[in-house]
Amino acid sequence: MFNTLKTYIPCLVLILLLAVQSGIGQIPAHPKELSYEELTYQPPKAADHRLELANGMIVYIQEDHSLPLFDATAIIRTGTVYDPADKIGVAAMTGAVLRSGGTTTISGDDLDERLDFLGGSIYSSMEKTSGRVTLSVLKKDIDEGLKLFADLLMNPAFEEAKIKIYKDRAIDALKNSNDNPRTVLDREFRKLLYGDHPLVRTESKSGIESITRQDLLAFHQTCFAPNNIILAVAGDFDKTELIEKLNAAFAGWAKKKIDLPKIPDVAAKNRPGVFMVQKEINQGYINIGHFGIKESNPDLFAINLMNFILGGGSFTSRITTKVRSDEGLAYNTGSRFENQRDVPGLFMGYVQTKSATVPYATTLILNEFKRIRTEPVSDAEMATAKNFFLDSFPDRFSTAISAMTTLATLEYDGFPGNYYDTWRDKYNAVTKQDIQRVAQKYIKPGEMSLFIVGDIEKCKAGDDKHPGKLEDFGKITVIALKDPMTAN
Amino acid sequence: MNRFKTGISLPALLLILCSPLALFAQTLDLESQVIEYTLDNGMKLLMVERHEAPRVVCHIYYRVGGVYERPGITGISHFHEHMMFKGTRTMGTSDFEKNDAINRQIDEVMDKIYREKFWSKNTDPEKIKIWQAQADSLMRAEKETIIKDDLWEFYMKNGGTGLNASTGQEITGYYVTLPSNKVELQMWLESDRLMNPCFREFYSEKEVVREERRLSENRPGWLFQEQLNASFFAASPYSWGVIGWDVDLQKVTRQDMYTFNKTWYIPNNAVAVYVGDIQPAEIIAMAQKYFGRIPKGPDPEPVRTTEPKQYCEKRLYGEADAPPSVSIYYHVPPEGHPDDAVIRVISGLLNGNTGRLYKKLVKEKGIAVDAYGYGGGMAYAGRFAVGGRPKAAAGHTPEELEQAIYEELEDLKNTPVPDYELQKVKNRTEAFLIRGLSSSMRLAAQLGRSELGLGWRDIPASLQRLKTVSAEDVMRVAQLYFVKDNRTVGILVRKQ
Repeated sequence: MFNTLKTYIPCLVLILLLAVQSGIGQIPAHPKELSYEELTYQPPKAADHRLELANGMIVYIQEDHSLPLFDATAIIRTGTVYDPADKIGVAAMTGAVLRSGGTTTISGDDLDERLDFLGGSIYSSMEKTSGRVTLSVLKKDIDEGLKLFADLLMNPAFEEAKIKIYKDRAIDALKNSNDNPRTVLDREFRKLLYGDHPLVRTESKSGIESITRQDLLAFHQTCFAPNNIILAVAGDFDKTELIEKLNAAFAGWAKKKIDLPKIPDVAAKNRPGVFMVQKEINQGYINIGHFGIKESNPDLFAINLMNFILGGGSFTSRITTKVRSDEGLAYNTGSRFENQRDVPGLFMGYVQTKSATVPYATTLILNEFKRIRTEPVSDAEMATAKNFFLDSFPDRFSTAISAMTTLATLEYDGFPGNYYDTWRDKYNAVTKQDIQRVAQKYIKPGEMSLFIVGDIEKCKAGDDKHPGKLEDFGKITVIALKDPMTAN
Repeated sequence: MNRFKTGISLPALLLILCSPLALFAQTLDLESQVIEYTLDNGMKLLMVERHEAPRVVCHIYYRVGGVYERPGITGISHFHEHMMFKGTRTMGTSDFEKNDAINRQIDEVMDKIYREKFWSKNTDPEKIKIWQAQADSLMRAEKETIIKDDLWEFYMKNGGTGLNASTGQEITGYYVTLPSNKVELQMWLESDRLMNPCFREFYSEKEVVREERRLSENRPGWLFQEQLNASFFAASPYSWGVIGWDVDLQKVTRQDMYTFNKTWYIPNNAVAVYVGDIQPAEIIAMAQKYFGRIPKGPDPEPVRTTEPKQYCEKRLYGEADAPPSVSIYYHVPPEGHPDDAVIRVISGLLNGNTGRLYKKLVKEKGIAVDAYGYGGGMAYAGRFAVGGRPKAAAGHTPEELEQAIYEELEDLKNTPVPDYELQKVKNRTEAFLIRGLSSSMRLAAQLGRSELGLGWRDIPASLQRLKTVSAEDVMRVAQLYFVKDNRTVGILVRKQ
């Protein structure tokens, strides 16, 4: 194994000589004095990689010969949001048992064995507004891997035994769903704002038990069709050959009309006040926020820069600097806009801090909300935020499969293929005035829901060092957790 | 990618001429990809070229972590990692002299407080109150001399992503991914904080670390697992977690921090890894300039205390707002021991969808919702953990699951593993390693961490060792280690 070293010996001698030469330059006294050679970068063009198969499946494809690997990701237009109202949990179960339950020609157990023996994998998952099936195999197994992957997408068997295992796990997860304060906060905060919208419906034991194999087959029928899928593929193959293989693998899978119901609108009615869930722990887990924006909002670029300065840019953001670094009140704190495609997402500040400093940490976050609305951001903050977005841009294209998945996701979310061509210009165009404008428009201090999971009395008590009581933030409503098994 | 260049540079040309351009075969071939260089002060450089995008993953790893601590300063490696972001003589302050003077005053007052609080037998809260007020006012004065999170901001405004640091039992890493024209910034900042760290805002950062510990404490079942681990290791420093005991965090001093830094943060205890759009000759030249100026330190002593033989089974029972579970820990040898490859094969046999535990306990018997068995050698000790969560809804208990797990371990001792099953584990491991190379970040982490353990060449070598493991080896190793007196068992049930 050491024979390649020989190749390096003359090489290293030369490197050494060079190293000594180029090491002569002085080390600047401060990193701001460093200068860098110019760097230009053009993102991959969607049109160079996109094609449509005869059956309507969209494919983003790129050869990558750096490793003997093959990867594919199918993005399916589906999601838990399409659960039938009387069958909550069908979509998630379909997503999971699609993979574990095998196909009409190979059992789930045999499929597991075969993939493990090849050192490959196929995963399937169901998100709120999309589904994904991914394949990863060695180059030598492309043909077999593709065949299994296509078979699962087209002909899942949803074996009863695997449905049973899934149900056991889902019910177990339900039983434990109030244990982790982070999970409780996330779920209850969303329920408060989205109400009974399909995005936030919760499962129950009886609901899970009532789902049948027929329900899964029916759900599969509604969403799984070639013209409802965008596929990203990359790896060690010849592009022309692989396209033929894709056509062959999905041959016989016909286009069909997809008739998914429209995702209901969200009233986006904010719920100002203080909401608390009792849990005997030594910290308060806090979200404070209200409705935000859709991903398609034209102010998205200004909002991203504004939130980076406010609380999205880790240590270069104001909330982290104040709450964590200055005051030592928390490990994890900041703010975010959770942009969604179909309905408005949420805006929130977040922090977890010991019970006694809950009121103080909340005050500090609210102060930052107010400050970014009333004062212009500094030139330095603006420059840091812009540079971060512009300079880190190529990250999303750093491997062939991540580049193809990025382009596939772009199309899935309804953006034009040339979106990234002007992406950096849009960040560049944002002004300090824009930052203040979007802060005033999208952050509404008077409409905040302050949601706390923690030991209520200890959180309310605060400490004797800092002013401020939870009552100052609004009327306190205590929310009793439901029995997770019955949702009652 | 299109890296703008006015003609090909000489180092680039040389690299093209003499680097072996052999691509990865279907096997794990690192030798033709990794370029290695050691500076005169003992600091190691590892480099891999990847030109897909104009980005470079820059990681630095130090051979230090929880196991290099002692009672009294547990958690200091991780706390120190936080402090490494607090500045240097140049970074993080507008006035080094003034800041330093204030910090000395703060230390004096805090020393009085700590002595009164932690040393005195009759602590006087009135005295502490007065001193605390002095400390608070000094800390406010310090803020005027501080440039907040200066290093972090420099990385961010230069397009740094993956910006982070992490501390483990044995290794601490500092990470950033930068545009390929800005690697020099990483060299500047990292060599600066290796030479001249200044631990500002020590006392507020201590509270951040304590909040971080509380986050763990509030995770279902975490406190029980911490106790179980402490029971399992009687003597070895693996007995405390990386976060440390809160009682130690409260008492640790800024002076402890500097002493710790001097011992471990030296170039001959570090490896820097660069994976991405680089020209290795340029990286080496730059590293000589920046890291090469730092003097070598005295080689740190390895951990003395290895884990002595356990002479009796240990059992721990606990209750928490968490699902019931059973955890069984066995002592196994440290990494590099010939049995380690066998232990890793056993992990493969037990784990995963087609592993024995899931197949038998979840699919066939239906008594568990989850089951796992994994582990192996660490630098100075080894642990094999096997366990799972019983299907409580159907009335199954942790004790029942425990017995069913023992049956599986007995089977490993008594029946030779079929060839097919053994081959499957070997194939999976190999594919997993090859796939790991596709992510520059994962590759950098693997190279850096291995280098500080058995050396990066052990990555392919360990795969070769694993491939030679036989069915007889599995039986012998299972018989040797999976015995009652060698185990610690934790049974956790839901608090009623």
